[in-house]
Amino acid sequence: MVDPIIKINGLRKVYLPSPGWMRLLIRTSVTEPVIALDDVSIEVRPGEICAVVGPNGAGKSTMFRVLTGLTTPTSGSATILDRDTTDRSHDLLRSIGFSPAEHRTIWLRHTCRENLVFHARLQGIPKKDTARRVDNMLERVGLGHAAERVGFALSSGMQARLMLARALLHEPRVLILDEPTGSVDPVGSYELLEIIKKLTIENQLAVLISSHRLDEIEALHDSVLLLDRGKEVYRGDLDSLRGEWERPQIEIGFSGEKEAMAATDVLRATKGVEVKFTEGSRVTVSTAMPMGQLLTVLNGRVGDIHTVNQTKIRLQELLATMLHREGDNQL
Amino acid sequence: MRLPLGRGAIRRGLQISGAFVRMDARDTLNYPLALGMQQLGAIVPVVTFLFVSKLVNRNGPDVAGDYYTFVAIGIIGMRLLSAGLESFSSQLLRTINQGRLEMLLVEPIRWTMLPFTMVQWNMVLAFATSITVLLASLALGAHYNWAGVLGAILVAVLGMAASMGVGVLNASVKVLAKRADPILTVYSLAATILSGVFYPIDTLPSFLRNLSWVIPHTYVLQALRRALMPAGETLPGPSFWVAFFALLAFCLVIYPIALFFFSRSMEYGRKTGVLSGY
Repeated sequence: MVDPIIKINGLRKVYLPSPGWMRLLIRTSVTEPVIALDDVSIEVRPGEICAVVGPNGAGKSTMFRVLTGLTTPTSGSATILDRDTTDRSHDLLRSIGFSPAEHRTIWLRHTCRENLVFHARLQGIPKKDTARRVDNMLERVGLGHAAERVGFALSSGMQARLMLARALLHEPRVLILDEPTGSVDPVGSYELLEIIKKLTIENQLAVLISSHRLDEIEALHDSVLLLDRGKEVYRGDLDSLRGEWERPQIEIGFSGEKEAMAATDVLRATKGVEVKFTEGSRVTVSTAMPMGQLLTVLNGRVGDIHTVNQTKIRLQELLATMLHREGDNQL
Repeated sequence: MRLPLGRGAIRRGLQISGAFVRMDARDTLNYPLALGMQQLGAIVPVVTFLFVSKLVNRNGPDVAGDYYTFVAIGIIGMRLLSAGLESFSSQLLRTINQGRLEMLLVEPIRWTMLPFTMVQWNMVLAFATSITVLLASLALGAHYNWAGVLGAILVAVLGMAASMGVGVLNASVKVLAKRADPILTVYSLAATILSGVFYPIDTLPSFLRNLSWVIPHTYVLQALRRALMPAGETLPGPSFWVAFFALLAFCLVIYPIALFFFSRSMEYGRKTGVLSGY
């Protein structure tokens, strides 16, 4: 197996309240230590996308800040290509392509080309290579036709693409994308994710991407890190996650409401079956029980069954369940 | 802390400065009315002091025989020095407010290089504005010794560099305090009163007069007047070259101190996670 490019090991970040002298300069709302990350570990290999998922305050942005050298860990380590991110060496920074959540980070009064040329200069890309690289990158993210358009005149989707182009211009090995599709419409998001997936494979990038939109995470078909209040709730691939947590939902349609109510009573009394809801003549249950066994339970009422549908639980529901249970455990 | 010195660092600094100048220049030119009003606003003090000079009617040796030219040079000098003082802090605040600081800090640039590379356009603009003010004062009756222009440019550049040093020191507080400019506020107040922009420092009480020579602004104005005023050599106080070397010494002292504190502030902000906040 290829060595991971990104390695995070037991990462912990605690934001402490400001000391007294600092409060003379600026007041903050932090009055007691805030644990932003608590023993988080992850590895991302070339050509792999890891989706970082979690509610607001889960620690996603702090993790990205540690990786980009914008803040330092309290304990644990984060390395990229075996270089500690606390070093902020130029080689390390050149190996990272970062796109923050904030769209204003592009120069809105300047054209796409000017934005990329500026970034190229700061990255130290030789002048003779700049024009070719900029044109090439704009083409790859689908902005070739909008090279001379200013930031203000771009749609949210196009701005997101420009930020992606900026993150990739200096040919990094690692791509860190903080909510890249935050304000982009579903079609735009889909297209952007397709570009990211394609470039990840082509350039063998190690990608960390955070998103609140779980349909997108599902579309990436790769590994996931679920964070909640700085703690790791799940780490692994999506299929294992489903296998570990998912119980299929089965919707059974009866000939009438009375029959549905009677079947509900039977199912509620059955171990290993959870009745999610009964609506009219339909009963929805969640169970790991094989279909045949479930129908045996309803043996006396099989004649009343009109339809049986098995549906997969949505990722959103799955993750919400996991976060809820984790919260219960913490309480 | 590593100082941004050496041939490679200078080449890199020029590359980064060029990138900022290009973007900032475009930004400025995108707002032509604002630029025009700024130039117009810069002329107002020299117009005001034309009338004040008539009222004062003071043309003694302490103002090299021409109060209006004396004060016009003071105004031009003060404008250049203010640009040096304030540019980095204002650029830093603008970058934070526009949400671009984090993006800038993940670029492979030494943080100690930022104070020099982010402000070049402001310096160019300050020079251009100073020329506008100089031409306006000339039209209003000021007299200049054109032979001293090169010396004046030399000392103006050195003076701006010295002011930038104080500006960097101020920015090391600003990085953490975000809005406050304590060093800048105190220094600017002191400089306005003590450096003799509008009056010869001999007018000040003796204890304040001694303090005047602690501030680089006083040396800059002294050297500018000696270089640009037709009877500048007759002005009391240090010669052009004494003022020049005093400024040079100030730069050599202030930069290591200012960059040390700026670097420490950035590291502290990084550790506590407050760099991009506002």
